[in-house]
Order: sequence, then C-alpha cells, then structure tokens
Amino acid sequence: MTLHLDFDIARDNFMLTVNLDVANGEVLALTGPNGSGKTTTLHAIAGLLPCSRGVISFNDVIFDTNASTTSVFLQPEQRKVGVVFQDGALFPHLNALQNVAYGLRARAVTKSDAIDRAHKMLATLKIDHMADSSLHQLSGGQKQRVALARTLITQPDILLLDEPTTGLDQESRQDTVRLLDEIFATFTGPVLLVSHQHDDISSLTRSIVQITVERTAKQATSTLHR
Amino acid sequence: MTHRSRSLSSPRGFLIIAVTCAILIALPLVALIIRVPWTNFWSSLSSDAATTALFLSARTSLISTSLAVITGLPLAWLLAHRNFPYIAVVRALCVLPMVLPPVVGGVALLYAFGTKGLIGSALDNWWGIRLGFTQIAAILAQYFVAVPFFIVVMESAFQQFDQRLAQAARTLGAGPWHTFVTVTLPVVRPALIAGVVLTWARALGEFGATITFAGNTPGRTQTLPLAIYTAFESGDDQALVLSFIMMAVSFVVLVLLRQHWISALKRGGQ
Repeated sequence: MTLHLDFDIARDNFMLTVNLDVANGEVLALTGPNGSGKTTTLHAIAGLLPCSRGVISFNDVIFDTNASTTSVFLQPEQRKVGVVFQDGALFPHLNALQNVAYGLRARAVTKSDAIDRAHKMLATLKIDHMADSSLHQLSGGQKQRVALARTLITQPDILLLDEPTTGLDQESRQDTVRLLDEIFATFTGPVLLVSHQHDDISSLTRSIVQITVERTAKQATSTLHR
Repeated sequence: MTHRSRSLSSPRGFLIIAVTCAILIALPLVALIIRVPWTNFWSSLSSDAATTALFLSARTSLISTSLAVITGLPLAWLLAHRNFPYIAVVRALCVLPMVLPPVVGGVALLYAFGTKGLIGSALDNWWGIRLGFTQIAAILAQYFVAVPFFIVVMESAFQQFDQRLAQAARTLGAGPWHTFVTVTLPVVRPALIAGVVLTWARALGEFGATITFAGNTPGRTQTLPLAIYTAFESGDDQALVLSFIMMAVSFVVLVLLRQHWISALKRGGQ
C-alpha cells in the first residue's frame, strides 16, 4: 500500500525524473534548489499536470500513465490528493469558514452540513473564532491553519504540502510545525512535504530526499530518488 | 511669504498639456448641452420616433451584450489558458473589429449573412430566413463591433488570475465547470463588470455597421445613433435631445459602476 512514483516530466529545457515509493503513514520531505522541480512533483501527483512518461499510482489505482500501450490521466477531483499550497492559495472572495466548506460543497454536501463540519474542523485546528473573518483579517499563521483545514476536511488519501512554513514569522513557524506534527501523527496515508526550512523538516520527519540538479548550457536535468 | 509646492515636481509643461487634453474632450460635450432645447425637451423625447428608438436601442444592446458575454467568456478563457495551433491568428482576428472601420464591418456582415452572402444565401434557400435589414441584423452588427472589447478585457483578466486558486479548487473536488463558476468568475468580477460596461457602451453607440447591414428602418433597425443621425440630417432639434440622453445614460452608468468596481476591487484584493 504505497504511493508509487516512476515518471518523467519533460519541458523545452527542463527534465525531471522521479523514482520513489512513499508508504502509507510515511512523511517524506523533498528538498532541493529553487526550480529543481519540487512543486512540479507535487503537481504531477495531484493531477495538475500530466507526466510525459511513466506511471503514478496509489494502492494499485493508476493516477497517470503515459506508455505506448495505455494512457490514463485521472483529473485532480478524481484523485483524493489533498494539496496545501504555498501561501495557502485561499479563495479571496470567501471568508475563512466558506473556504473550509468549499470542498464539501463541491462534493454536493448540503450547505448546513458543510458549515457544521467546517466549524468543527476549524475548532480542531483552534481557529474557529476567526470563522467569519475575511482573509485580510487573518495573520500568516492563521491563513495556514485555514488552508490546512480546507484540505483536511475533504479527507484526502494523500497529503501534499508545499512550503508550509515559508513566509511565516518565527513564532507562527514553531506553531505550524507543532500543528503539522499532530496532523501527521494521525494521518494514515503518505505525506509529501516540500520545504526549504531544514530546521522545520528535521523536527517533522527523518526521511528526507534531495532533488539533484545537473545543469548544462541547454538543459537542466533534475533527479529525485532515494 | 511664498510657499513652494510641497510635492514632487512633475515634468515641466505636463499640466498645461493635460488641461488642453481635458478641454478638448469636454468642450464638444459642453457645446452640445448648451444647445439642448430644454423648453421642448420632454415633448421631443416622448415623441413616437424617439421612444421607439430608445426602446429598440435598449433591447438590441442588451441582447448583443448578453451574446457577447456568453460567447466571449469561453473564448477569452481558452486564449488565456490554453495553447492551440494558430492561437496568434485567432487572437488577432478577435480584436480586428476594434480597429476596423465599422462600415467595413457592415459590408463584411452583408457578404456573410445577407441574402447573397456566404451563410445568408443558404439560410434563405433552405429555410427562407433573411437576416439582412432585420432587428437580428442590428443585433449582429452590435455584437460584431462590441465582442472584441469583452474578449480583450477578459483575456487579460484570466491571464492575471492566480491559477493556483483554480488548481486548489480542483484538488478539493470541484470539476472544471464548478471551479469556473465558483472561483474564477467571482475572483475576476471587477474585470467582468468593466468588460460588460465597455461592451454594452460600444454596442449602444454602434452606427456604421448597423446602417450598412441592418439599414435605418424606424421601429426595426433604427437605433438611437441612427435616429440621431436621421434627425440631425433633417435639421430636427430632436437630434440634440437624443444625443443628450445617450450622453447622460452613458455617464450615469459609468459613474454608478465605477463605485461598483472600486468596492469590488477592494473586496477582491488581498
């Protein structure tokens, strides 16, 4: 029962090769220089971009494969992959509660039920007092909690986090790391975490892989494997 | 004691040139307002010809603007977010009517939808449908000249739209349509309003393509600008009254919606 990644993403002058398995319950951190393909890797798993070759599968369900014999590409909404984007990417036209309820409403949960569950999720993340706030009233750390709540409420099978502590002040960072630690302890699926903050990573997980990049004048080749 | 201006100085001469520019815009409008025959304003306005043209313009411009919105949104979205063959050609074609003289647009529309036109002859032969010189022709003429404004505004808005918001919606379980309606459109709302207003204003003011393709039949294709032209040709004061009405309506709508944009922008911002 694992997330199986064995794929390439080829662009004009960029080539990313990923080859690794992440077990259920494992928290794997990806590090590497800017532009090495960390976010691209998360996007490929979430279905936000197709791979050029290879296979992405989870517990024998093929998310994406592009081979001569078969071609599969599950849309993001068919994958149950939760993504916490860098800076949250919260919906600016919705308040904190509506942001969290969004995923339930998208899956046709009734409005009252969605609001109920969104309040409970916000309470779990100790941010329910800000439920009716618009985004500009929230601090960086509070936005990060809302973003986590918005993703977790959809009960994803896989959790992907892109730079969850970047851009936060020292106090919110420690706060977020403690919170992530609690979330990871109960999350049963694979977790992939992209981060620059080595202190934060090392207090969250021991499994860390580094993307290596080889650059020539014409092409950058990134490789990600254990 | 003299006070030197306590602000950063502007390039020398800018103020005088800017004032000249503003006067050149305002002067003709002021001249028109001065000449409006206020004594028989209401009688001119409530005449049959005037009310007919008013209602015709209101109806046709609303229909053509709605068509522009419904058809322009998907095109603008695809131009902004997808790459396809000849996209540069499609983009150039879409904005061509903006720079084309409207009368040329009218001639082109005749050769497309007129009874001897590319599509028009088939419509006539197979179903007996004749579009030329009908109210549908007036709507098509307005659509042709106005839809580029909507496409240009919306393509730019979709390009500036933070794609991660749509991506987040998709990973949360929303399909492409749900994402478009519940995330993309609300976030680009200020641009949407601006685009609709610009498009509607262009459709309302349309003259050249309409008179060429739809003709100047009172009650059927004689929209406000055409009625103004006809009245002006015959030296009728009604031209001034109708011109003033068009000016006032445009002004009021712009001012009202300007407030709307500002508040929408504030809400949409971080």
